Amino acid sequence: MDDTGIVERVAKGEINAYSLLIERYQAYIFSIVAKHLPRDMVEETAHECFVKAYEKLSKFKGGSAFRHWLARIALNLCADFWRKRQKNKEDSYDVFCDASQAWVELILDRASCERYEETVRRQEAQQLLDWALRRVSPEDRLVLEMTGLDDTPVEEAAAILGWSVSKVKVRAHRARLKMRQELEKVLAQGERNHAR
Amino acid sequence: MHDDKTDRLEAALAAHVRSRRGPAPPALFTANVLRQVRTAELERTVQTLLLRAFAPFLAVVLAAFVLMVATLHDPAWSDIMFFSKIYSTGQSSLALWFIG
Repeated sequence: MDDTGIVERVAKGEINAYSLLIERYQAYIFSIVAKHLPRDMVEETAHECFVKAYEKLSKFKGGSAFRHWLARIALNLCADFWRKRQKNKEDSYDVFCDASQAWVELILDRASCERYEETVRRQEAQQLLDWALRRVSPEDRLVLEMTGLDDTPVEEAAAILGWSVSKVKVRAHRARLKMRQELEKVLAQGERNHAR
Repeated sequence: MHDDKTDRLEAALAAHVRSRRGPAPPALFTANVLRQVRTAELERTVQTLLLRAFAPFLAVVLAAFVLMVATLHDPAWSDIMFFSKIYSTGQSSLALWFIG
């Protein structure tokens, strides 16, 4: 049965039919949320996404694919999370600390492929990424992570976000420039440390 | 030179994003979501029923309040109109009750 058929059944009061949609898209939503939020927030946010989708199900008119509509709800929840974080000003991590600078130097060092793979998974990478991305708005952060860093096709990102392709391109480009400026600050600080 | 370094740093961060793997959905995920959905649905039903039951009562209270304000503004008007107003308000409330 297709998604629209299941949505109609749920709308008629057949709540159990909603489990078909959850089963079908839970892995997809988990993978999307995991790309944008800390690991410990993934399950809670995915859960909230499905509950919210149920509450808004009457607004789903079938104009776009159900999975894109669902992904948009998940991404809005991710943006809300970063918005709250920005408001709380949880910016305690210092990217100019020794551990962070050591990681940057390790990356800039011409390492072997295996070592590189291992290095990029380290916690310092996550912290530096969070620090740099916190300098752009939550929406720009999502676009940048999707298109600039995770290779999601621009057309798919536009469909998920409900934006035009050109808007996605413009915002991703601006956010990328901003992030690069922040990374240059980290590099400049590293060079100053070397000079000392 | 600096651009090259920024490129490499950016590439490392992109590789980090691509390597991120979230946890797999737990076995009881669907059941947990469905449980909360049912609770939300039940709450919604109760709210609707309560609203329907109390709507006529609220309408009477509101009408009485409007009437009170009107008579306070113009006491002469209240003598004759007061009881007829209450009567018609009562009728409307009764009609609302049936609709509800």
